[in-house]
Amino acid sequence: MNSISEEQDFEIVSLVKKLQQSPERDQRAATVGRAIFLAEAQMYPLPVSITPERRHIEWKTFFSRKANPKMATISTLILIFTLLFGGTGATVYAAQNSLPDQPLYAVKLASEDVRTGLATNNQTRLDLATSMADTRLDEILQLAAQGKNIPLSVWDRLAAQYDLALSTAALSDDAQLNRDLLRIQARIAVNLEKLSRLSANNQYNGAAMQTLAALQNDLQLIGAGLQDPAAFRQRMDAGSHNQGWQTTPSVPSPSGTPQATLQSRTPMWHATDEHGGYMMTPWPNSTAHPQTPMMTAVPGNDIHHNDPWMGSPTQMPNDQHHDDCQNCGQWGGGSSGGHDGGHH
Amino acid sequence: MNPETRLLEQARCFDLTALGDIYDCYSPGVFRYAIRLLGETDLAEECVAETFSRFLKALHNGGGPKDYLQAYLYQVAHHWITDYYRRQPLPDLPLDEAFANDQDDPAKTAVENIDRERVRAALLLLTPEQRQVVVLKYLEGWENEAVAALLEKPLGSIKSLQHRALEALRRMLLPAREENVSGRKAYE
Repeated sequence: MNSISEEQDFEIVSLVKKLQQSPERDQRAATVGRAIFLAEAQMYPLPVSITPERRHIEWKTFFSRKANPKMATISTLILIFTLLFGGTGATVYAAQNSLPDQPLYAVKLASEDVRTGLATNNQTRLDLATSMADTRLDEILQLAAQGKNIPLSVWDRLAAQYDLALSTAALSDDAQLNRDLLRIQARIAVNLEKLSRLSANNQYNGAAMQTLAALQNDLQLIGAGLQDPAAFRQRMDAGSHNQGWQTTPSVPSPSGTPQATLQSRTPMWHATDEHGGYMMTPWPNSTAHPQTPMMTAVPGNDIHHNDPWMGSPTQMPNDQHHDDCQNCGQWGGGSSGGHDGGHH
Repeated sequence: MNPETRLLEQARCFDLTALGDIYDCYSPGVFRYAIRLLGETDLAEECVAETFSRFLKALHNGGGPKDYLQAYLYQVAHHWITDYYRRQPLPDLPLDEAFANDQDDPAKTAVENIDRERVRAALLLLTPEQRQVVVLKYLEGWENEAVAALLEKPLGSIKSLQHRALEALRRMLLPAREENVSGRKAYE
Protein backbone atom coordinates (compact mmCIF):
# COMPACT_ATOMS: atom_id res chain seq x y z
CA MET A 1 0.00 0.00 0.00
CA ASN A 2 2.84 2.29 0.96
CA SER A 3 4.68 1.60 -2.24
CA ILE A 4 1.54 2.35 -4.25
CA SER A 5 1.08 5.57 -2.34
CA GLU A 6 4.72 6.57 -2.86
CA GLU A 7 4.44 5.68 -6.51
CA GLN A 8 1.33 7.78 -6.87
CA ASP A 9 2.99 10.64 -4.96
CA PHE A 10 5.90 10.45 -7.37
CA GLU A 11 3.50 10.55 -10.28
CA ILE A 12 1.65 13.51 -8.86
CA VAL A 13 4.87 15.36 -8.14
CA SER A 14 6.01 14.65 -11.69
CA LEU A 15 2.77 16.12 -12.96
CA VAL A 16 3.12 19.18 -10.77
CA LYS A 17 6.67 19.68 -11.91
CA LYS A 18 5.40 20.12 -15.42
CA LEU A 19 4.55 23.64 -14.28
CA GLN A 20 8.23 24.26 -13.63
CA GLN A 21 8.61 25.03 -17.25
CA SER A 22 7.66 28.66 -17.29
CA PRO A 23 8.08 31.18 -20.05
CA GLU A 24 10.93 33.65 -19.82
CA ARG A 25 9.93 37.03 -18.56
CA ASP A 26 9.66 39.70 -21.19
CA GLN A 27 12.63 41.99 -20.47
CA ARG A 28 10.78 45.03 -21.72
CA ALA A 29 7.94 44.34 -19.30
CA ALA A 30 10.46 43.80 -16.50
CA THR A 31 12.16 47.13 -17.25
CA VAL A 32 8.85 48.95 -17.34
CA GLY A 33 7.81 47.27 -14.06
CA ARG A 34 11.07 48.36 -12.42
CA ALA A 35 10.65 51.95 -13.59
CA ILE A 36 7.07 52.07 -12.29
CA PHE A 37 8.22 50.63 -8.95
CA LEU A 38 10.97 53.24 -8.50
CA ALA A 39 8.68 56.07 -9.62
CA GLU A 40 6.16 54.98 -7.01
CA ALA A 41 8.91 54.88 -4.37
CA GLN A 42 9.82 58.47 -5.17
CA MET A 43 6.23 59.55 -4.54
CA TYR A 44 6.45 58.55 -0.89
CA PRO A 45 7.82 61.30 1.38
CA LEU A 46 10.81 60.28 3.41
CA PRO A 47 9.82 59.06 6.87
CA VAL A 48 10.88 61.80 9.28
CA SER A 49 8.63 61.22 12.25
CA ILE A 50 7.97 58.39 14.64
CA THR A 51 6.13 55.58 12.93
CA PRO A 52 2.44 55.10 13.70
CA GLU A 53 3.33 51.86 15.43
CA ARG A 54 5.46 53.75 17.96
CA ARG A 55 2.74 56.28 18.52
CA HIS A 56 0.29 53.48 19.15
CA ILE A 57 2.60 51.99 21.76
CA GLU A 58 2.86 55.37 23.45
CA TRP A 59 -0.90 55.48 23.75
CA LYS A 60 -0.78 52.06 25.32
CA THR A 61 1.80 53.17 27.87
CA PHE A 62 -0.17 56.36 28.55
CA PHE A 63 -3.02 54.27 29.85
CA SER A 64 -0.79 51.87 31.74
CA ARG A 65 0.29 52.65 35.28
CA LYS A 66 3.93 52.49 34.26
CA ALA A 67 3.67 55.80 32.40
CA ASN A 68 3.09 58.09 35.33
CA PRO A 69 2.53 56.43 38.67
CA LYS A 70 2.14 59.79 40.38
CA MET A 71 -0.72 60.81 38.12
CA ALA A 72 -2.23 57.36 38.45
CA THR A 73 -2.22 57.70 42.24
CA ILE A 74 -3.79 61.13 42.09
CA SER A 75 -6.41 59.92 39.64
CA THR A 76 -7.18 57.00 41.92
CA LEU A 77 -7.57 59.32 44.89
CA ILE A 78 -9.88 61.60 42.97
CA LEU A 79 -11.89 58.61 41.82
CA ILE A 80 -12.14 57.30 45.38
CA PHE A 81 -13.30 60.69 46.62
CA THR A 82 -15.80 60.89 43.84
CA LEU A 83 -17.19 57.43 44.54
CA LEU A 84 -17.24 57.82 48.32
CA PHE A 85 -18.53 61.32 48.56
CA GLY A 86 -20.91 61.56 45.68
CA GLY A 87 -18.77 63.53 43.35
CA THR A 88 -19.25 66.87 45.06
CA GLY A 89 -16.50 68.94 46.54
CA ALA A 90 -18.64 69.72 49.58
CA THR A 91 -17.21 66.93 51.69
CA VAL A 92 -13.66 67.80 50.86
CA TYR A 93 -14.43 71.44 51.60
CA ALA A 94 -16.04 70.52 54.92
CA ALA A 95 -13.01 68.43 55.83
CA GLN A 96 -10.69 71.41 55.65
CA ASN A 97 -11.59 72.49 59.19
CA SER A 98 -11.42 69.02 60.69
CA LEU A 99 -8.96 68.08 63.41
CA PRO A 100 -6.87 64.90 63.66
CA ASP A 101 -9.38 63.27 65.99
CA GLN A 102 -12.26 63.76 63.56
CA PRO A 103 -13.44 61.36 60.82
CA LEU A 104 -12.92 63.73 57.92
CA TYR A 105 -9.32 64.45 58.83
CA ALA A 106 -8.10 61.72 56.48
CA VAL A 107 -9.99 63.45 53.67
CA LYS A 108 -8.31 66.70 54.57
CA LEU A 109 -4.84 65.15 54.45
CA ALA A 110 -5.59 63.36 51.20
CA SER A 111 -6.89 66.55 49.60
CA GLU A 112 -3.68 68.29 50.68
CA ASP A 113 -1.63 65.52 49.09
CA VAL A 114 -3.63 65.89 45.91
CA ARG A 115 -3.04 69.65 45.89
CA THR A 116 0.69 69.15 46.43
CA GLY A 117 0.81 66.46 43.77
CA LEU A 118 -0.99 68.65 41.26
CA ALA A 119 1.27 71.65 41.88
CA THR A 120 2.90 72.36 38.55
CA ASN A 121 5.80 74.49 39.72
CA ASN A 122 8.21 74.48 42.61
CA GLN A 123 7.12 77.82 43.99
CA THR A 124 3.53 76.66 44.37
CA ARG A 125 4.69 73.43 45.97
CA LEU A 126 6.86 75.35 48.42
CA ASP A 127 4.00 77.71 49.33
CA LEU A 128 1.69 74.76 49.88
CA ALA A 129 4.24 72.98 52.05
CA THR A 130 4.82 75.95 54.34
CA SER A 131 1.10 76.73 54.48
CA MET A 132 0.31 73.13 55.39
CA ALA A 133 2.98 73.17 58.07
CA ASP A 134 1.18 76.14 59.58
CA THR A 135 -2.06 74.21 59.39
CA ARG A 136 -0.48 71.26 61.24
CA LEU A 137 0.73 73.56 63.98
CA ASP A 138 -2.71 75.15 64.29
CA GLU A 139 -4.23 71.70 64.62
CA ILE A 140 -1.70 70.80 67.30
CA LEU A 141 -2.45 73.96 69.23
CA GLN A 142 -6.21 73.44 68.95
CA LEU A 143 -5.96 69.87 70.23
CA ALA A 144 -3.68 71.01 73.03
CA ALA A 145 -6.16 73.72 73.97
CA GLN A 146 -8.81 71.02 74.30
CA GLY A 147 -6.46 68.85 76.35
CA LYS A 148 -6.60 66.05 73.79
CA ASN A 149 -3.85 63.70 72.71
CA ILE A 150 -1.95 64.72 69.63
CA PRO A 151 -1.18 61.81 67.30
CA LEU A 152 2.50 61.37 66.53
CA SER A 153 1.69 61.39 62.82
CA VAL A 154 0.67 65.05 63.08
CA TRP A 155 4.02 65.99 64.58
CA ASP A 156 5.81 63.95 61.93
CA ARG A 157 3.82 65.59 59.21
CA LEU A 158 4.66 69.05 60.51
CA ALA A 159 8.39 68.30 60.28
CA ALA A 160 7.92 66.60 56.91
CA GLN A 161 6.20 69.70 55.47
CA TYR A 162 9.26 71.78 56.23
CA ASP A 163 11.49 69.06 54.81
CA LEU A 164 9.48 69.27 51.61
CA ALA A 165 9.71 73.06 51.59
CA LEU A 166 13.49 72.95 51.99
CA SER A 167 13.91 70.24 49.34
CA THR A 168 11.78 72.24 46.94
CA ALA A 169 13.68 75.45 47.66
CA ALA A 170 16.93 73.66 46.82
CA LEU A 171 15.71 73.28 43.23
CA SER A 172 15.69 77.06 42.62
CA ASP A 173 18.55 79.27 41.51
CA ASP A 174 20.65 81.12 44.06
CA ALA A 175 18.60 84.31 44.16
CA GLN A 176 15.29 82.49 44.48
CA LEU A 177 16.77 80.04 46.96
CA ASN A 178 17.88 82.94 49.12
CA ARG A 179 14.38 84.46 49.10
CA ASP A 180 12.74 81.10 49.81
CA LEU A 181 15.07 80.26 52.67
CA LEU A 182 14.39 83.64 54.28
CA ARG A 183 10.66 83.07 54.00
CA ILE A 184 10.88 79.57 55.46
CA GLN A 185 13.16 80.85 58.19
CA ALA A 186 10.60 83.48 59.19
CA ARG A 187 7.79 80.94 59.29
CA ILE A 188 9.78 78.48 61.33
CA ALA A 189 10.82 81.18 63.76
CA VAL A 190 7.18 82.08 64.39
CA ASN A 191 6.22 78.44 64.85
CA LEU A 192 9.15 77.78 67.14
CA GLU A 193 7.83 80.41 69.49
CA LYS A 194 4.40 78.73 69.57
CA LEU A 195 5.92 75.31 70.08
CA SER A 196 8.13 76.44 72.91
CA ARG A 197 4.99 77.55 74.76
CA LEU A 198 3.47 74.12 74.20
CA SER A 199 6.60 72.37 75.44
CA ALA A 200 5.91 73.81 78.89
CA ASN A 201 2.91 71.48 79.08
CA ASN A 202 4.04 68.10 80.43
CA GLN A 203 1.47 66.22 78.37
CA TYR A 204 3.05 67.29 75.12
CA ASN A 205 6.57 67.86 76.27
CA GLY A 206 8.24 64.91 74.57
CA ALA A 207 6.74 65.23 71.10
CA ALA A 208 6.91 69.00 71.17
CA MET A 209 10.59 68.88 71.98
CA GLN A 210 11.28 66.46 69.17
CA THR A 211 9.62 68.77 66.69
CA LEU A 212 11.24 71.78 68.26
CA ALA A 213 14.65 70.22 67.76
CA ALA A 214 13.80 69.30 64.17
CA LEU A 215 12.81 72.87 63.43
CA GLN A 216 15.96 74.11 65.12
CA ASN A 217 17.88 71.79 62.88
CA ASP A 218 16.08 73.21 59.86
CA LEU A 219 16.95 76.74 60.98
CA GLN A 220 20.61 75.78 61.21
CA LEU A 221 20.40 74.31 57.77
CA ILE A 222 18.75 77.46 56.43
CA GLY A 223 21.39 79.65 58.06
CA ALA A 224 24.15 77.63 56.41
CA GLY A 225 22.24 77.55 53.12
CA LEU A 226 22.03 81.34 53.06
CA GLN A 227 25.81 81.44 53.27
CA ASP A 228 26.60 78.56 50.95
CA PRO A 229 23.75 77.64 48.56
CA ALA A 230 25.82 75.01 46.75
CA ALA A 231 26.54 73.10 49.94
CA PHE A 232 22.87 73.40 50.89
CA ARG A 233 21.81 71.86 47.61
CA GLN A 234 24.35 69.13 47.98
CA ARG A 235 23.05 68.37 51.42
CA MET A 236 19.45 68.34 50.21
CA ASP A 237 20.35 66.18 47.23
CA ALA A 238 21.97 63.69 49.55
CA GLY A 239 18.80 63.83 51.64
CA SER A 240 20.97 63.68 54.72
CA HIS A 241 19.50 66.67 56.50
CA ASN A 242 16.57 64.61 57.67
CA GLN A 243 18.14 61.19 57.87
CA GLY A 244 20.06 59.46 60.52
CA TRP A 245 17.82 60.25 63.41
CA GLN A 246 18.02 57.75 66.14
CA THR A 247 14.79 55.96 66.80
CA THR A 248 16.12 53.63 69.43
CA PRO A 249 18.06 54.43 72.53
CA SER A 250 21.67 54.81 71.72
CA VAL A 251 23.61 51.67 72.56
CA PRO A 252 27.29 52.19 73.10
CA SER A 253 29.36 50.15 70.74
CA PRO A 254 32.32 48.15 72.01
CA SER A 255 34.39 51.22 71.38
CA GLY A 256 32.02 53.27 73.44
CA THR A 257 30.49 55.12 70.50
CA PRO A 258 26.68 55.14 70.32
CA GLN A 259 25.43 53.34 67.24
CA ALA A 260 23.04 55.41 65.20
CA THR A 261 20.32 53.59 63.31
CA LEU A 262 18.64 54.89 60.19
CA GLN A 263 15.06 54.01 60.88
CA SER A 264 13.01 57.12 60.55
CA ARG A 265 12.79 60.08 58.26
CA THR A 266 11.66 62.38 61.00
CA PRO A 267 13.84 63.35 63.94
CA MET A 268 13.22 61.19 66.93
CA TRP A 269 14.32 61.78 70.43
CA HIS A 270 15.02 59.28 73.12
CA ALA A 271 15.82 59.32 76.79
CA THR A 272 19.52 59.12 77.44
CA ASP A 273 20.03 59.24 81.13
CA GLU A 274 18.47 59.53 84.53
CA HIS A 275 17.78 63.23 83.93
CA GLY A 276 15.19 62.26 81.39
CA GLY A 277 17.09 64.11 78.71
CA TYR A 278 16.71 63.56 74.99
CA MET A 279 19.36 63.14 72.39
CA MET A 280 19.35 63.04 68.62
CA THR A 281 22.02 62.50 66.02
CA PRO A 282 21.08 64.02 62.72
CA TRP A 283 23.98 63.03 60.43
CA PRO A 284 25.80 60.11 61.95
CA ASN A 285 26.36 58.38 58.62
CA SER A 286 26.79 61.34 56.38
CA THR A 287 29.96 61.30 54.36
CA ALA A 288 30.39 64.98 55.08
CA HIS A 289 30.27 64.20 58.77
CA PRO A 290 31.50 60.66 58.96
CA GLN A 291 32.13 60.26 62.65
CA THR A 292 30.71 63.21 64.41
CA PRO A 293 27.11 63.46 65.55
CA MET A 294 25.98 66.89 64.58
CA MET A 295 23.89 67.87 67.48
CA THR A 296 22.92 66.59 70.86
CA ALA A 297 20.05 68.09 72.69
CA VAL A 298 18.32 67.62 75.97
CA PRO A 299 14.97 69.21 76.62
CA GLY A 300 15.64 72.18 78.61
CA ASN A 301 19.36 71.70 78.07
CA ASP A 302 21.96 72.86 75.58
CA ILE A 303 22.01 71.69 72.02
CA HIS A 304 25.56 71.30 70.81
CA HIS A 305 26.50 71.52 67.19
CA ASN A 306 29.85 70.09 66.37
CA ASP A 307 29.43 70.16 62.62
CA PRO A 308 31.72 72.85 61.24
CA TRP A 309 29.38 73.38 58.29
CA MET A 310 26.53 74.11 60.65
CA GLY A 311 28.24 77.03 62.33
CA SER A 312 27.97 77.99 65.97
CA PRO A 313 25.91 76.03 68.46
CA THR A 314 22.42 77.04 69.29
CA GLN A 315 21.55 77.59 72.88
CA MET A 316 18.49 76.03 74.36
CA PRO A 317 17.05 77.26 77.61
CA ASN A 318 18.12 75.79 80.91
CA ASP A 319 21.62 74.56 81.04
CA GLN A 320 21.61 71.40 83.12
CA HIS A 321 23.23 68.41 81.43
CA HIS A 322 26.30 67.04 83.03
CA ASP A 323 25.96 63.39 82.22
CA ASP A 324 25.25 64.10 78.58
CA CYS A 325 28.58 65.76 78.42
CA GLN A 326 30.08 62.36 78.94
CA ASN A 327 28.18 61.20 75.90
CA CYS A 328 29.45 64.20 74.04
CA GLY A 329 32.95 63.39 75.06
CA GLN A 330 32.59 59.79 73.95
CA TRP A 331 30.97 60.67 70.68
CA GLY A 332 33.51 63.26 69.89
CA GLY A 333 36.35 60.97 70.76
CA GLY A 334 37.51 60.58 67.21
CA SER A 335 36.95 64.17 66.25
CA SER A 336 37.09 66.10 69.39
CA GLY A 337 38.61 69.02 67.60
CA GLY A 338 35.26 69.87 66.13
CA HIS A 339 33.36 69.48 69.33
CA ASP A 340 32.34 72.53 71.20
CA GLY A 341 33.42 71.99 74.73
CA GLY A 342 32.55 75.45 75.86
CA HIS A 343 29.56 74.30 77.87
CA HIS A 344 31.82 72.54 80.34
CA MET B 1 24.49 42.25 9.16
CA ASN B 2 23.70 40.09 6.13
CA PRO B 3 23.24 41.71 2.70
CA GLU B 4 19.46 41.24 2.70
CA THR B 5 19.11 42.95 6.06
CA ARG B 6 21.34 45.79 4.89
CA LEU B 7 19.25 46.17 1.75
CA LEU B 8 16.13 46.31 3.88
CA GLU B 9 17.61 48.97 6.15
CA GLN B 10 18.39 51.11 3.12
CA ALA B 11 14.98 50.41 1.60
CA ARG B 12 13.32 51.72 4.76
CA CYS B 13 14.94 55.07 3.98
CA PHE B 14 13.54 54.75 0.43
CA ASP B 15 17.03 54.54 -1.00
CA LEU B 16 16.31 54.14 -4.73
CA THR B 17 19.47 52.16 -5.41
CA ALA B 18 18.58 49.65 -2.72
CA LEU B 19 15.00 49.47 -3.94
CA GLY B 20 16.23 48.92 -7.51
CA ASP B 21 18.51 46.13 -6.30
CA ILE B 22 15.65 44.50 -4.44
CA TYR B 23 13.47 44.60 -7.57
CA ASP B 24 16.25 43.17 -9.76
CA CYS B 25 17.00 40.44 -7.26
CA TYR B 26 13.52 39.26 -6.34
CA SER B 27 11.07 40.23 -9.09
CA PRO B 28 12.10 37.37 -11.45
CA GLY B 29 11.31 34.82 -8.74
CA VAL B 30 7.99 36.46 -7.92
CA PHE B 31 7.12 36.54 -11.61
CA ARG B 32 7.98 32.85 -11.98
CA TYR B 33 5.89 32.00 -8.93
CA ALA B 34 2.99 34.02 -10.27
CA ILE B 35 2.99 32.70 -13.79
CA ARG B 36 3.05 29.10 -12.60
CA LEU B 37 -0.15 29.70 -10.73
CA LEU B 38 -1.77 32.24 -13.02
CA GLY B 39 -0.64 30.90 -16.37
CA GLU B 40 -0.77 34.33 -18.01
CA THR B 41 2.19 36.63 -18.44
CA ASP B 42 0.09 39.80 -18.19
CA LEU B 43 -1.55 38.62 -14.98
CA ALA B 44 1.84 37.58 -13.60
CA GLU B 45 3.29 41.03 -14.35
CA GLU B 46 0.29 42.61 -12.65
CA CYS B 47 0.91 40.38 -9.64
CA VAL B 48 4.59 41.42 -9.53
CA ALA B 49 3.70 45.11 -9.77
CA GLU B 50 1.10 44.85 -7.02
CA THR B 51 3.44 42.83 -4.79
CA PHE B 52 6.18 45.45 -4.93
CA SER B 53 3.68 48.27 -4.55
CA ARG B 54 2.37 46.69 -1.34
CA PHE B 55 5.96 46.30 -0.19
CA LEU B 56 6.51 50.05 -0.59
CA LYS B 57 3.32 50.86 1.31
CA ALA B 58 4.36 48.57 4.13
CA LEU B 59 7.76 50.26 4.35
CA HIS B 60 6.15 53.68 4.37
CA ASN B 61 3.85 52.66 7.24
CA GLY B 62 6.77 51.40 9.29
CA GLY B 63 5.93 47.75 8.62
CA GLY B 64 7.32 45.32 6.10
CA PRO B 65 9.68 42.45 6.72
CA LYS B 66 12.31 42.55 9.42
CA ASP B 67 14.20 39.80 7.61
CA TYR B 68 13.43 37.07 5.04
CA LEU B 69 12.57 39.61 2.35
CA GLN B 70 12.19 36.93 -0.32
CA ALA B 71 9.73 34.98 1.80
CA TYR B 72 7.80 38.17 2.50
CA LEU B 73 7.48 38.99 -1.20
CA TYR B 74 6.37 35.45 -2.05
CA GLN B 75 3.76 35.66 0.70
CA VAL B 76 2.40 38.95 -0.64
CA ALA B 77 2.27 37.51 -4.15
CA HIS B 78 0.52 34.42 -2.85
CA HIS B 79 -2.13 36.54 -1.13
CA TRP B 80 -2.65 38.55 -4.29
CA ILE B 81 -3.16 35.38 -6.33
CA THR B 82 -5.52 33.92 -3.73
CA ASP B 83 -7.52 37.17 -3.69
CA TYR B 84 -7.54 37.23 -7.47
CA TYR B 85 -9.15 33.82 -7.69
CA ARG B 86 -11.48 34.64 -4.83
CA ARG B 87 -12.78 37.66 -6.73
CA GLN B 88 -13.65 35.70 -9.81
CA PRO B 89 -14.42 32.09 -10.73
CA LEU B 90 -11.66 29.89 -12.00
CA PRO B 91 -10.95 31.04 -15.54
CA ASP B 92 -11.09 28.89 -18.57
CA LEU B 93 -7.36 29.10 -18.88
CA PRO B 94 -6.13 29.81 -22.38
CA LEU B 95 -3.17 28.03 -23.83
CA ASP B 96 -0.58 30.69 -23.43
CA GLU B 97 1.51 31.01 -26.56
CA ALA B 98 4.48 31.76 -24.42
CA PHE B 99 4.55 28.14 -23.35
CA ALA B 100 4.71 26.92 -26.94
CA ASN B 101 7.98 25.98 -28.55
CA ASP B 102 8.25 26.19 -32.31
CA GLN B 103 10.62 23.25 -32.51
CA ASP B 104 8.32 20.87 -30.62
CA ASP B 105 5.83 18.56 -32.19
CA PRO B 106 2.54 20.48 -32.13
CA ALA B 107 0.59 17.42 -30.94
CA LYS B 108 3.03 16.77 -28.13
CA THR B 109 3.02 20.44 -27.19
CA ALA B 110 -0.76 20.39 -27.09
CA VAL B 111 -0.84 17.39 -24.75
CA GLU B 112 1.79 19.00 -22.53
CA ASN B 113 -0.23 22.17 -22.39
CA ILE B 114 -3.38 20.30 -21.51
CA ASP B 115 -1.58 18.49 -18.69
CA ARG B 116 -0.20 21.79 -17.41
CA GLU B 117 -3.59 23.44 -17.43
CA ARG B 118 -5.11 20.52 -15.55
CA VAL B 119 -2.40 20.62 -12.94
CA ARG B 120 -2.79 24.38 -12.60
CA ALA B 121 -6.56 24.09 -12.28
CA ALA B 122 -6.14 21.35 -9.69
CA LEU B 123 -3.68 23.49 -7.75
CA LEU B 124 -6.18 26.31 -7.66
CA LEU B 125 -8.71 23.98 -6.07
CA LEU B 126 -6.39 23.30 -3.13
CA THR B 127 -6.56 25.39 0.01
CA PRO B 128 -4.25 28.41 -0.17
CA GLU B 129 -1.81 26.90 2.33
CA GLN B 130 -1.74 23.52 0.58
CA ARG B 131 -1.16 25.27 -2.74
CA GLN B 132 1.63 27.36 -1.28
CA VAL B 133 3.38 24.33 0.18
CA VAL B 134 3.20 22.41 -3.10
CA VAL B 135 4.35 25.33 -5.24
CA LEU B 136 7.21 26.36 -2.98
CA LYS B 137 8.43 22.83 -2.39
CA TYR B 138 8.05 21.23 -5.81
CA LEU B 139 8.19 24.20 -8.16
CA GLU B 140 10.44 26.65 -6.35
CA GLY B 141 12.56 23.95 -4.73
CA TRP B 142 12.31 25.25 -1.18
CA GLU B 143 13.19 23.05 1.78
CA ASN B 144 10.46 22.19 4.25
CA GLU B 145 12.16 24.32 6.90
CA ALA B 146 12.04 27.40 4.68
CA VAL B 147 8.37 26.82 3.89
CA ALA B 148 7.69 26.38 7.60
CA ALA B 149 9.45 29.69 8.30
CA LEU B 150 7.43 31.46 5.63
CA LEU B 151 4.08 30.10 6.79
CA GLU B 152 5.13 30.44 10.44
CA LYS B 153 4.08 26.87 11.13
CA PRO B 154 5.92 23.93 12.67
CA LEU B 155 7.64 21.49 10.36
CA GLY B 156 5.10 18.78 11.18
CA SER B 157 2.25 20.98 9.98
CA ILE B 158 4.05 21.60 6.70
CA LYS B 159 4.51 17.88 6.12
CA SER B 160 0.88 17.31 6.96
CA LEU B 161 -0.21 20.07 4.55
CA GLN B 162 2.01 18.57 1.89
CA HIS B 163 0.55 15.08 2.40
CA ARG B 164 -3.04 16.31 2.22
CA ALA B 165 -2.25 18.42 -0.85
CA LEU B 166 -0.77 15.47 -2.74
CA GLU B 167 -3.72 13.34 -1.70
CA ALA B 168 -6.14 15.93 -3.05
CA LEU B 169 -4.16 16.31 -6.29
CA ARG B 170 -4.12 12.56 -6.74
CA ARG B 171 -7.89 12.42 -6.42
CA MET B 172 -8.26 15.23 -8.95
CA LEU B 173 -5.60 14.35 -11.48
CA LEU B 174 -4.95 10.62 -11.59
CA PRO B 175 -8.42 9.41 -12.54
CA ALA B 176 -8.46 11.89 -15.37
CA ARG B 177 -5.01 10.81 -16.40
CA GLU B 178 -5.98 7.17 -16.26
CA GLU B 179 -9.05 7.96 -18.36
CA ASN B 180 -6.86 9.79 -20.82
CA VAL B 181 -4.44 6.89 -21.02
CA SER B 182 -7.20 4.40 -21.58
CA GLY B 183 -8.77 6.74 -24.11
CA ARG B 184 -5.50 7.02 -26.01
CA LYS B 185 -5.05 3.27 -25.99
CA ALA B 186 -8.53 2.79 -27.39
CA TYR B 187 -7.83 5.37 -30.08
CA GLU B 188 -4.58 3.67 -31.01
